[in-house]
Formats: sequence, structure tokens, C-alpha cells
Amino acid sequence: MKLSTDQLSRMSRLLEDAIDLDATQRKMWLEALASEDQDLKEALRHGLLGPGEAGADPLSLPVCACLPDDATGLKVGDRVGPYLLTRELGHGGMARVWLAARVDGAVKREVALKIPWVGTPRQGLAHRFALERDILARLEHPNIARLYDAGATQQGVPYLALEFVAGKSLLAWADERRLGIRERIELFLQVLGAVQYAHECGVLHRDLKPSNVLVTDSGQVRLLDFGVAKLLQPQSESGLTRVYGRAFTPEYASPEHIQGDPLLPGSDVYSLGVMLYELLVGSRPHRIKATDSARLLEKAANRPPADRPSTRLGPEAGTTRATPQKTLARQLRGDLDAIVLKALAAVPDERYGSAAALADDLRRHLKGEPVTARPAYLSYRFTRFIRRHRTGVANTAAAVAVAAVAGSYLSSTVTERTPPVSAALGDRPIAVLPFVALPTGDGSTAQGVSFARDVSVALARTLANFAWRTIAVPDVEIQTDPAEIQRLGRKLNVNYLVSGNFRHADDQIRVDMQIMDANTGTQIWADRVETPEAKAARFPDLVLLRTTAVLRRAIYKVTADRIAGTPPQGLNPSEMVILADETEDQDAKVRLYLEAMHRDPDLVPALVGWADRLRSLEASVAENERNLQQADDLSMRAIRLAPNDADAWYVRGWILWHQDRYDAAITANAKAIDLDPSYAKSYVARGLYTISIGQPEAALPALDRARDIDSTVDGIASRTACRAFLSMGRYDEAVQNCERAMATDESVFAHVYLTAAYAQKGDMARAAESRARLLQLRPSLTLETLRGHSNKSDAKRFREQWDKHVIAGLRTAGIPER
Amino acid sequence: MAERLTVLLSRMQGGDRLARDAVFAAAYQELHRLAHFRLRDGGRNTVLNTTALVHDSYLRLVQSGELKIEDRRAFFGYASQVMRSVIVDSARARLAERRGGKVQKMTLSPELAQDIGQDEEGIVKVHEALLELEAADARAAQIVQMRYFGGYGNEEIAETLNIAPRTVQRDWEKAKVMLWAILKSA
Repeated sequence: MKLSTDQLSRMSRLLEDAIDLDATQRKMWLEALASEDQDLKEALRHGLLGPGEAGADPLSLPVCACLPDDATGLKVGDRVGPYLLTRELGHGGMARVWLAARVDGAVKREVALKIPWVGTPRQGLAHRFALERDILARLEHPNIARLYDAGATQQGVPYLALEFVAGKSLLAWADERRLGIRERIELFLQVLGAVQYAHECGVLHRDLKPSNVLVTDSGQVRLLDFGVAKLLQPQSESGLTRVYGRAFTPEYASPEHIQGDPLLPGSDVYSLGVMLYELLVGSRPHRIKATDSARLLEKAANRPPADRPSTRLGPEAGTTRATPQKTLARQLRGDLDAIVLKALAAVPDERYGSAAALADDLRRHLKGEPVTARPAYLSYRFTRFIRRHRTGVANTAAAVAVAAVAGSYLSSTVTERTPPVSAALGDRPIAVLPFVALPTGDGSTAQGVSFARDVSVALARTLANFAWRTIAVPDVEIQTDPAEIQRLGRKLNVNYLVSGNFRHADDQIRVDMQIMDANTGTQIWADRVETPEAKAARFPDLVLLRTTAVLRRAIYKVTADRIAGTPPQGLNPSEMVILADETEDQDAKVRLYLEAMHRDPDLVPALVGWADRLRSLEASVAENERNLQQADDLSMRAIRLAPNDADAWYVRGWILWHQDRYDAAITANAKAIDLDPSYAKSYVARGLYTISIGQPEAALPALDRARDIDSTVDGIASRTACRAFLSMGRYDEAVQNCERAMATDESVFAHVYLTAAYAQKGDMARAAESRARLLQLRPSLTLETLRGHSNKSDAKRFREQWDKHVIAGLRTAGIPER
Repeated sequence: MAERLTVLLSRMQGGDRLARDAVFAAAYQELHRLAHFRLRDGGRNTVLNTTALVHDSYLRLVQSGELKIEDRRAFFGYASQVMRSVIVDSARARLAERRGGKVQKMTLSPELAQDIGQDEEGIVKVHEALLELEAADARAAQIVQMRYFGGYGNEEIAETLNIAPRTVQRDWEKAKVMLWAILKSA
């Protein structure tokens, strides 16, 4: 019988009394029910005591997806895709995170499985996840937690499998260990390195905050959730969700992020600034209520500048930093105040242009050098100078001399730090904009963006140890109007913009590139690389490597042109090295390298450049040995300072080769190729070293690759190929390659090989001609001097080949024995 | 859209009733979409619980402290109502499909209708029982709507109805007894 409204109203009133009673009391209450309410007794009994005598059967409603507490959720032991949930690690605004183990494959790996709250439409989800996953999975850095997998279950539940990191959040770790200011900065430098790396790969973090930065017991920083915010962001047509559904943490988000503007690398720099602020003083620069979004949005633009960190030290700061409060304030005042506030500038182009620039300034501060965040006041620079040279200054007797030295120091450094000269490199990166794929279509746009990312990563590798930093900016439109280019340059805070397009034309893949000067908005360089499609198909990275090689040279050249003619005191050390690398003037080269090293003894490119120069100088035997020893020391030092510098390993390879340590040379050079596969000369070196261990046939593919990647190494690659063919007794091919080499590289050794090859072929007329030219170039040449090779066993095969093919040929051609 | 909403919200803060209606209208589609998202999981898991959805969507904006308390209350109530209607419509659509007829006018995609879960009939019955409960005890019915269909927790419901969370819990217990009785007697 259906209950009437009147009955229900009565029931409601009755339940007011019964609902607070326990089971026994409810039974008694039911027995005492008034006679006029007896019609409700059965319903009440069921409702209050359940159907059976066992009682306690809770009233259940049909499961609806929306019940927060009652519905069955994921629990330990459930499977999500190929993962088995082990335990819950926590949950945040975006997702719930589980510790999980992969159960289907051979690899039994523990992962942090992230399951987003926000339902993303199933349509296109798998595709989008796959796309982003590929980008994110390529982030391989010791300070970034890996993304292993992203996908969706058959039911459409999206998940992300991330590297599980056992660690503490950045702030907790630093406080627990009572780190002082310097240790905190050193810890933070790890964070900056990781962020810079990701920016070079074209990935923004978008949600940097201390809880996303874990530190392991051993003190290694691991950044979590790189790019994950973007992945979890609902992609819907609805403008509402696009604007308000964005995942961010207001306390750490940049003003442009809060306002919903497109994000740039500078937005991450801002978040880093907030984190650094908090790491240093223990409080955040702005107090923002998390729920305060309407006002947040409104006021994001005119947020007042943050207080200087030194004025915001909390009462606990001294204890957690094991430093007296007064000392803390003094340590922060000045440089660190300026650095943090520069990172926190409301307008992106007033911030550091990259995480690396912020890191550079922090390092300068730690070393006691002037920081770029502070204006070039003479008094400030003088203070820096005194601090760095404290021992000298302490000696009052030398005060006058010091003042004089300081005077000259000031006059030079002030010019050095004044833009625009140092802005040629400075702290502003090079932005790589998307390459447009022509003709454009949906697929090819993605191709262009991913090509630009690859170029950026490759350039970043190849330019890494100079002040050049690169960032990939995949989300901007290419501009042609100078004013627009300038505007974009300001927004990205860069000096150079690299962009281009590529297309398939006449069985060629044609890449057109240009470099634009962001300060003037004009194109300052352009070039084209054409690659036969058949070749590109055999060697998938060829187009990329060729493009990178050409761009690397162009960036050197553009920079060298820009600073050429600047007096040395107006150059910073990095610029000196660039000039030294570029100039043909041998004396100037030496001067520039030495001066650069003098100014900055830790400047890796200077160490490497000078080592390379030393190992290739021709001098007396004793002097050669001394030079080689010095080059050896320099290259080891460079590698210690920058273990991932490809050039350092490349030069190291050469030095080892000169020392007849061929296997070690091959290993060092392989490391160089690994770190920077676009540098063609390292393939030539590989060829030469392979010949040196008596395997000339194995040298040929490396030499072909060198020529494929960079046509400017054709001369030395052909010369080396000539040497390989000669060692194999293939004299026709040796002649062919040597003649090709002569076109661009008329070196002594090319003539040595050519003379031997002609003589071995029996072409005595040409052999005599070639010998004459050789003796003209090197009148003192004898077979004796050419025999000075290693007696080590690993060179035995090579020695036999050399004697049989080269020395014997030269003897036939009439080169004197001694 | 975002800009318009911001303007509307500020007018709403100023007590403009028309603006409030406009905001609600603007929110309708969004709520509708959110409800659909949730249904796609059909109760197989709770990762898509409404509270989280609401927090992560623009509703966060509406919830923010800047809105007048009565507007926020109205909005919570409204959101639950929209959720309810979407859920019930979906359940009916699925039922109709299962019975082989196209009795119901379907505004939902067939894909969605397949995903609602196993107990559509139960959900529709709860909805109908709730109509009866509304007539007898409006507050208890409101609590069921917010909790069962809207997915809100006790705290939010308490704020919306301007009562203590403890009272919400008591009323929920009461409502369950009555719903059960209604369902049983039908």
C-alpha cells in the first residue's frame, strides 16, 4: 500500500525521536508507538532495525556514481590497466595517487599510479595521452622523476604511471636538516638544472611547487609531474572549463597563469621564484587563499610587488636554518633579495629569461661575483671585488695598490656588464619556434612542432656549455612583421628567434631556416638544407642533425659578427671563446683563450678550446709532450666541471689518440657522439681512431656519416677515407678520396697519402708530381719522421698496414729514408 | 565567455538577481557536462566523484568566498538539481533502450546511455520516491538530492541549508528510512 504524504510527514516527525537511539532503544521505542501511528510500525521497523532479526542491515540505495562515501571506489588489490594497486599514497586536487606494481610484463616495477579526478572525455583521450606521453617520456634527467606510461583502462579511466620516488618535500627536507642559506641554494640549483633541461625539450612544468619537488635521503632532488598538469587539463570545447578548470596552485602560479594567458618558460621561472623565496625565508611572497579564485583572477594583474625576502624572515627561520636571525637577514640582503625579486617580476620580460639564467646568478652569488639582478653601481661592484679579494685587501699596506687594481677592474667590468654587448649572450636564451611543415595539414603541423622541439634539444646539447641556452616554444605563431617579432622577443625574453619550415620537393626534404634578431625584429641569417628523401629514409635523424649542424655554425657566426670589433675589455669570457674559435688569426686565438681562462678559470669552453689548440700545435718533441700533458690536464678538468659536455669529450678523445691510447680515445669520442650526435667532426675522429686500431673498413661508415651531416667536413673526412682505403690496399678509391680532399683541404697528410697511393698504383708520373708538392710544403720530410708511431700492441695491425701501404709507397715515390 | 562570467559574477555579488539567473544559465551546460563525465564511469569507481569535479571546474569560482552566502547556497542546490536531472534522464534512456523501444525522447548519446551502470531502474525509483519525500519533508529531500545525486558531503550540505553538519547526518538517516519505506510500499 502506497504511503500518503500525510503518513510520510508523520513518519518524519516520529523519526526525529527515534533516529538517535541505539538498536535496543529503538526496539523499545517501536513497542511504545502510539496507537494512531501503528500504520507506520512495519515500515519503521524495517527502516530502523532492518529486515532480519540479525538486524544492522544498513539501508542501501542503488549505487549511483555520485555517492561520495557509500559507493565502491578503487581499493588495494584492484587492477587499473596493467597495474595492481598496492596502497594509497595520497590525493590532491587533481588526482589520487596509488603505489602500484605492474603485473602483466616481465618488469616488476613499482610505480606511482596517478588517477585523475577530472573525467576527460573518452573520445580522443587515448590519442592525446599517447602524444603527450611520448613527449614526457623523453624527459630523461637525473633530477626528474620518469613518466613510464600513460593510458586509459578499457573503461576509460585515465592513468599515469610515474616513477615512484621515496623522498621528502623540498621545504621539509631543508628544514629537517637545518640547512643554511648556501646549502639551500645548492639544493635549489638541482631543481633549476632539471627545469632548464625540460624547457630545452619544450616541456613546461606548469605546476611547480615544493610538494612537487622531492629530495631523497641521499640529497638528490626529484621533480615530479613534469607537464602532467597539461595532460590532466580537460580538453573541452567549453570555454568555462578551459579557463577555470586549469590545474594550478594559486600560491605558486604566475600572474599570467592565473589570468589564463598562454604559458611560457618564464611562467615556470616565476613559480621557481616563489619556491626559492619560501625555501630561503620560510614564507611565501604573497598570501593567497586557495578558494579565493574570483578575487585572485581580478587582482592577479595588479598584485603588489613582493617584500624583500630579508624583511620576511619568520621567527622560526633561524632555528631551521641553524643560523642566527641577524646573520640570516644579512646573508639575504642585497644579492639574494635582488635575485628572488627578479624571478618574481610581475611582467615576464623583467624576469630571468630561463631557469639557467637564474641558476647562473645564484652561482655568481655563491662565488661572490656580481649578479645580473643588481644594477651596475660602482659601489656595489667594488664591494664584490673586495669580498672576493679579501686576503689582499686585509693587508692595509697594500691598500693603495689594491685601490689602483680595483680601479682598473671596475672600469673594465662595468663596460663588460653593460648591455647590449654582453646581451649578445647574456642571460637571454635562444628561442626555437615551431618549424612549419609545408604544405600544412593537421598531421604536418604536429610534425613541425615536434621537429622544432627536436632541433631545440639538439641545439641545447650542442651549445650547452656556452652562455647560450635554448628554449623550445611550441605554442606560438610564427611572425613575419618586425614589430611582432620584437614583441614576441620581449615576451619570451630572448635575443634570437630561430624558425623555419620544411617541405618535400623533388624527392628532397628541404629545410629552410632563419635566425631573427629579437631586438630589431629583422632576419639576420637564413639558409637551406636539402636532403634526398631516400637518404633521409635510411638515416632517420639525418635531416635533424644536418639542420642542427648548420644552425650551430650560424649561431656562432652571428654572435661572432655581432661582437667582432669590440675591444677585449668589452667582451665577457664566453664571447672571447667564441671569437677565439672563429678567428683564423692564431695569435689572437691564443690571446683570447688565455684571457678568457684568466677571467673565468672554470669556463669549460675555454679550457676545451685551449686544450684542443695545445694538442694540435706542432713543435719539438719535448715541447709537444709538455703541451700534450697540459692539454690532458685541461681536458680532465673540463670533464670534471662539465661531465656532459660533448666538446670536452671530443677533445679528450684527440688527446688520448695523440698519446696512442686508441681504445680509450674511441670510448671518449663515442661519449661525445652520444652527447651531441650533430657534431660531424666526431665521426671523422671515430674513423681515424678505427683506422688506428687496424680496422680501416670499419672507419668508412663513420666517415660517410660525417659527410652526410655536415658538408663542411668533406675535406678532412675524404682525407681520412683516403687513409682508410690506402690501409686496405684499395689504391684507386684512395686516390679518388684524396683528390676530393684536395678541393678543400690541402694539408701535408693529404699529399702524403696521395703520393703513396699513386706510387702503389704504379702511376709514377703523378707520384713524382705529388712528391714534389709534398717536399715543397715539408722539405724536411723523411720516412723516418713518418714512422714515429706507437709500439703498443693494439697498434700492431695498423703499423703493419702503414708500413706495407704508406711507407712502401712513399719509398717507391722516392721520399728519402732519413 | 570567461569575461562575461566574471562580469556577471561581480554583478551577482552586488545583489543583481538577473545576473544570478544568467550565471546559473551559463553554468547549466557545464554542470550537464560534468554530470555526463561522472556517469561515464557508471559507479564502477569513484574517481569521478562530484565534489572533486566541482572543485576542479569553474564551479570553484562560484564557490569562492566572494559570493554572497545565499548565492552560494542557491548554486549548490542548483548544481545538485542539474546533476539529478541528467542522471535520471540517462537512467531512463538506458532503460528504454534495454526494453528495445525508443519510448523516451533521447537527448543523450547512445554511448553514454550504455555507461550509466547496472541499476538504472533503482536510480529512477529513488528519483520518484524523492518526489514523494519532497512533499512530506522538503529538507530531508533536499539533503538526499545533494548527497545522492549531487555528490556533496555533509559540510557543504550543512552550509547550503544553513544547519549543523550533525543535523545533516541525522536527516540523511531519517531520509533513508523514509525512502526505503516509500520504495517498499510502492
